[in-house]
Amino acid sequence: MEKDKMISELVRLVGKENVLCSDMHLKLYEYDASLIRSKPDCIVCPTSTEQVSKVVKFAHDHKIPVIARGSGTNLSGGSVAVRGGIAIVLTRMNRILEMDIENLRVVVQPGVVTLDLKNVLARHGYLYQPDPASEKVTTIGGNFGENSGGPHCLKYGVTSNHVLGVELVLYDGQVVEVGGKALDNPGYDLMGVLGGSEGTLGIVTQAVLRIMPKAEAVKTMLCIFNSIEDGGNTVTAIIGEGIIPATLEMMDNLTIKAVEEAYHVGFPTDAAAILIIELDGLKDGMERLTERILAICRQHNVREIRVAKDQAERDKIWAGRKGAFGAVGRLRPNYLVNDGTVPRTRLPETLAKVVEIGKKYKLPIANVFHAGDGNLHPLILFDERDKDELTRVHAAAMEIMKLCVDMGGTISGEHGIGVEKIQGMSFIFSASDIAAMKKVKAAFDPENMFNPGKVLPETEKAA
Amino acid sequence: MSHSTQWVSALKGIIGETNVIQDPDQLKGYAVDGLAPRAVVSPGSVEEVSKLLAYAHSEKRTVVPRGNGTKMAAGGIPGKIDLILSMLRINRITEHDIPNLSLSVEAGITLLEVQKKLAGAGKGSFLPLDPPYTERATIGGIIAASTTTT
Repeated sequence: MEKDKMISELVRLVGKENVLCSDMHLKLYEYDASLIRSKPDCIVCPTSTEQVSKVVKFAHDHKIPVIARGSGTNLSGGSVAVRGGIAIVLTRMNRILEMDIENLRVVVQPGVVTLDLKNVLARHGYLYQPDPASEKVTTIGGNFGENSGGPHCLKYGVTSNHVLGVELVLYDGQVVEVGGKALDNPGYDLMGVLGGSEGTLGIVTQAVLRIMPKAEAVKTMLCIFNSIEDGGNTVTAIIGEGIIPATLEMMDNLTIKAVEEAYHVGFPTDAAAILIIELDGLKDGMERLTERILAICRQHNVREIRVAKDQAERDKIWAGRKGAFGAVGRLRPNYLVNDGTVPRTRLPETLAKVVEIGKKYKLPIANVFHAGDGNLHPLILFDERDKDELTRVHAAAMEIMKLCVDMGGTISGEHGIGVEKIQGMSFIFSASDIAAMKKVKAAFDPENMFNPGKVLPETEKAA
Repeated sequence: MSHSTQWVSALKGIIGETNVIQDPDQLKGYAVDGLAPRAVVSPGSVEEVSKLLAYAHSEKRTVVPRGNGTKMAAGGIPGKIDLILSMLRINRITEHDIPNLSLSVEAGITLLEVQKKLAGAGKGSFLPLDPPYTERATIGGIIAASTTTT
């Protein structure tokens, strides 16, 4: 279809104010937080489910690819329009539709910003647990599409554990309900299929979320180590003791230095590793549990322990962690965030190998990770203008992914597959595994119009 | 030999005679709401399950998987049952990684066996599930029916 005609049709469907198509707009929506760039042909910002349905039906009738998108903070190319088409930006659908506090449920539109929801819930003494580092800007729809994690997913699980139902626009514009307010809904568990499907199966226009009462007590500790091994072994020992803290976050020296230079939160720049351990729960027993954890840290040669005395000190520690990516971004013009998972017990060994990979490709690598989950985030620093360096970055990233798989882990923890990791799928899935997933894709999207070119490799190469 | 018994003989060829039940009296014990299967097969490996299903598919035979039958009161009534696939012989713990808090088991193991194993290893752990008939319910059945408590 001719572009002008497409635009005039879209304007007719959703109104002029909800269609963006200038060169500048296309440029603004050509990227996410990965290195992948590709422009959509047009951007539509619907304000209702009905408009989303109309746009999808129009795209279906004219065989135009559609890509749902929130704030574009995703990290693997999931929301980049690699085959052009219509980018459906859902940030204008940002209302909280229902607060059923007594039943611990809220119903929201997909464009609600994660932290905005949390701030509203906090006024009632409740919270929505998932806490991706980008929660200040990410949307609930995007979090569900990528099945985002965050520090607290060690104890509370990833986004899909908190989304109980959705309203979904199917490939032909039909609107269906999946799941609901109950914990276990009858019939097939399509929620399990949709969580993390990166917009390849349908577009979520409403979501039922599970909320929880705010914990009675929180204890946040900053534990400083002179060696990465000691930090890693502490993590394994804590979980081995049968303790599951709310978070077990780790940062290496390069990250610590970057964070301290950027935010001045008081991290010691000569430390090899920092662990942020947070406990939440009942007041009773909290001190005893804290003492047990501190004893484990001491057994593993902790250099210093700082326990946050109040909310302000706690906020400072978390500002350092949540700002880590941004801080590392100051070191070189670009960075690539890797996201792999290994069995927690193999974390120290894996990290040592990541360091070797960095040396091999002559690239600095900073490490921030959800240690409790064995979820690594090596940040490879580089300058994209240096083509040779860029080639080395991609090779190093692929090697880190392979390393995680060899360690008994997997190629993603929470950032999705998108485009960036599509080749890595064959590291973990057989040709028949991928063929089975393709049948699901074909059932939801028979003509491959929803976010084409993502998640599943086109050819089924055996592992 | 009629065609209707031929396919049952073929099943014996796949998993051995002793693992196929054909005796009508015994089959009655496997009836679902009065509907008895034509045969009950008890494969001993995932590979055998795969072969059985491929064969049943090629013969267009309906298959109902079964553990210990503790959820017979739940679920719908099947239209037709040719074959009941008993998973009870596929009951191993295939991986137990205590430090990483993960366990891999085959479908036919009972929850009781799992709990016993977990309680005795390391500092002791458990699977936080308590469906009815814990001592007999299999992991495969618990997952398929998504049973919680009654």
